Amino acid sequence: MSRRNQLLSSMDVDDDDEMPSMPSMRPSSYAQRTEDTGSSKPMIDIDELMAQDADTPECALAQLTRAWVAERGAPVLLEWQGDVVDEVMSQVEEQTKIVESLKSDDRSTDEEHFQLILVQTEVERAKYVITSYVRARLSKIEEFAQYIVANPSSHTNLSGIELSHARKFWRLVENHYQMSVLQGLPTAMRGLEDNQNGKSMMAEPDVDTAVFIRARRNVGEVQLPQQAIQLMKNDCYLVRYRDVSYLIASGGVEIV
Amino acid sequence: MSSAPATHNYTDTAHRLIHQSKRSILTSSLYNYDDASIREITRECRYLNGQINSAIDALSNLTEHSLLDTDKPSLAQLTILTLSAQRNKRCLLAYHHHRLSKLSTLYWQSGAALAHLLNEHNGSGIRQLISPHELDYLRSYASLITQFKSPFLDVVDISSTSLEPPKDLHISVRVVRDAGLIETHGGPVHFKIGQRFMVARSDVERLLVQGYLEEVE
Repeated sequence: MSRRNQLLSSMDVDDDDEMPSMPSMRPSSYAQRTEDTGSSKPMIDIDELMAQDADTPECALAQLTRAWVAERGAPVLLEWQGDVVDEVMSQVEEQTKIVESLKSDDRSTDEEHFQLILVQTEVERAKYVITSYVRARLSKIEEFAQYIVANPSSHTNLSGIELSHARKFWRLVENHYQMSVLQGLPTAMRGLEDNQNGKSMMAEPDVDTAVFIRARRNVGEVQLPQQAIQLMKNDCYLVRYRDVSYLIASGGVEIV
Repeated sequence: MSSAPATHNYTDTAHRLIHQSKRSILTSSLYNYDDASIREITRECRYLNGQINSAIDALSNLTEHSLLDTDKPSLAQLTILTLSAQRNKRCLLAYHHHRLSKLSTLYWQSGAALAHLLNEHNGSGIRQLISPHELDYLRSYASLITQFKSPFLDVVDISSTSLEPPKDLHISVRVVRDAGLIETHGGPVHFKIGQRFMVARSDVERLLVQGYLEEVE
């Protein structure tokens, strides 16, 4: 019973009149229910969340959402957020269990059922973020499989299972090329790593792609090839990924 | 193969393949695997390779100096032959690469349901459109993805959801093809063509992706 009270008291649906008009991506509220038990803080919406200081600890789903946005914006594979994904997954699992047990409990009131629907919706959204995050990475891994297999330095950002997928996937594709094309050609032409006229056959991530960045804190002066910019908190710029990759890695700026 | 046809330039067939790929991208549809063109290009490559080898043989007894001085036409010919052969190869690979990525995309779009994609996608399935090697590829790819998603399966099936953020728990759907008896959280539901239901999105996600149900606003 204590778990149930915890859950319901932390939801605070009643305090929140703007519920229906909330943006669909509302990452903090779900985890707030699980972590922030018993508080009466209203739900935070995405803008407030973005405005949060970098040093206040974020909940797992907010972190995952940020990783997901960054992953979809970045041309290269960013670091795999395994701990965050695990945390969100176990939260989803836990919430699903609680919801199930409350749903089948006859003593739940109508109002509680309504609150349950909100929790379930949030759980579905969390699942969506996980799925989209994993698949955004997967599509990059498959696109650059040959590059990943050939460059051990790129392995650090991949999870074990992603790396093994990259290897197996490239073996599969290579085998397909051999069977369908290359074995019909003269022996001298069967390579897959030609480097004709400076054009490599390997697909590499294009680090010169432009990305939108936003500073999460005051970064100060940043030297770009053409000019230096003063990067203050919440400033947005459109820059080459290559020029700011070190800032993204340090967490000073985020991709939007 | 004695010689290439007179009215035909080297790499013409290869360019046709590339145009096909381009058309496939623009219309986002999959075309028949063009086995005949592939064979023709491969034959052309082997023919070119023979020509290159005999040209090299003819030139190899000349020293570098006299080669540059006296035999510019043969050198130019050799360059053209080599470039044509390489271009053929790249076009072949590009064609196959494009098809593989198209197949993967279709696989994900069908909710990772291979049998459905092969036999029922858009009515007749894609089995008739692909080469035996591509069928092998799809099968292996499907098993790779099954392996990849298994650690997540307790919580989410990353292949079943469409990539649209969910707005509501429940959606109103119309049945566009008989789907039979489906087990949902609220008990089994029999989906018959023409009927409308209000169901939990998570229960019918797969049916939506595969085109049995249609969302009604």
